Amino acid sequence: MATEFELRNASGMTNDQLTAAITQLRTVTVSDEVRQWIKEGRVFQGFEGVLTTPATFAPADLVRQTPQFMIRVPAGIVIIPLMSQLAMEATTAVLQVLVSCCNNDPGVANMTAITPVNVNTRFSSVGSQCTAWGTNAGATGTAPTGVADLYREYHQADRDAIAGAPTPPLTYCPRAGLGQECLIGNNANVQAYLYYALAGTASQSTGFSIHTWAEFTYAEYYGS
Amino acid sequence: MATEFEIRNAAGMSGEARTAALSNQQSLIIADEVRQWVKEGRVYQAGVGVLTTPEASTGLDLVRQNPNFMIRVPAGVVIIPLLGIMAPEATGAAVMQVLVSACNNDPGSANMTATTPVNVNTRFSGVGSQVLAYKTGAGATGTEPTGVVDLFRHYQQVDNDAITAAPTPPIIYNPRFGLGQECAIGNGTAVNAFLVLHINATSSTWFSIWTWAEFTYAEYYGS
Repeated sequence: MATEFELRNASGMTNDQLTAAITQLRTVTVSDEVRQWIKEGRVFQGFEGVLTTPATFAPADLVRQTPQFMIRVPAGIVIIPLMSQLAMEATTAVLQVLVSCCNNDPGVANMTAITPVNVNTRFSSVGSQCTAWGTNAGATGTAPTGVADLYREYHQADRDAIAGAPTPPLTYCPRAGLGQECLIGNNANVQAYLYYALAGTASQSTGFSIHTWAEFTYAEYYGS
Repeated sequence: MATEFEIRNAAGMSGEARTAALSNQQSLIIADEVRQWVKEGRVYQAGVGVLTTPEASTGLDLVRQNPNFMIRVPAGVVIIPLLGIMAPEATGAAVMQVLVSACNNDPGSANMTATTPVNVNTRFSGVGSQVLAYKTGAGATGTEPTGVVDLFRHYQQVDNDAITAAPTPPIIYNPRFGLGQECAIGNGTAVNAFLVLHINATSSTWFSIWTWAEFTYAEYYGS
């Protein structure tokens, strides 16, 4: 019997040729690519704010060099940001979120390193190949270049003064239609994912954020 | 072994025959086509407003020739608009309207300002788009759009920035997720265009982000 499919796992294509699964109704069973990446241990998470202690958001307005959260992608690594979610606690007005990427190294001044954790518990102890940074307290050192903006929110209202309506988290999730998917990384220099969130007066807003991404070596992703 | 699949990359079909990937459950692993376009460096972004400086929308009502954002697609190029995120900052009063459309002629570019699209794959940040993007609509572009198709519309009675008792999420055009109609813009012989109008009945300032995938006519239609 001709076998037209091949097993792929965390090591890549295995040369293990198999038939594809179909259901009793003879429909093809498909699996989500991101789910496969999770299975392969490629999806990591970094967050700001710990359990009951929110992070403080220092900037009063958007500044390219003051991301609240950042992923620095080293040369030879490629990432696909999957989700960023923000739940504000205390705010003044105005609430803004901006998600972007850049093709240079913005530096890490005034930021605190965060240890990414794998979202597949089997691989919890396997470290990310990127470095994640949070708790911005000022300019990172170098202006981002080649910036592409991927998502934006602007809310006039003081969020924690909203008492007559729910205040759901603000979510960047291009797989769900919330923002543009991007690809960050090349084989020559550091590139970065930049997440900005703030709510009015400097250092007067607090909140929690969660960020996830899939990562690959350049060779795995581009095949060269 | 019969091999019925062939690798496609930025250069098109590669002639490289391979087996398709299965998971351990022997389910087919499906890759998203737009993700492949991002990988191939085909997806670009441009928009209205810069970081903390929104752009004033001069229109008070919808006028076909007064887009706030426009993509002129030259002959021989085809684009598929993917996403629009519109975040109004200050709105003078009610009513707020958004209209996204496409046309089969060149509307001109009078009263608009060119803006440089950026690739959303940082590997290709230095590679320029094949289309021309414009912002800062300050009047009529010069030629009435023809063959117009409307793809998305939003009409909001309430003054957006007067809303203090509820969140005000952005207005999103994203046809892959049911928010508007997908389209293809471009042909082999003339300029076609993508037109975005976002206005407020009095005055307003906006940020917006727009993304699209682009192809040569030959790549997309095979001829």
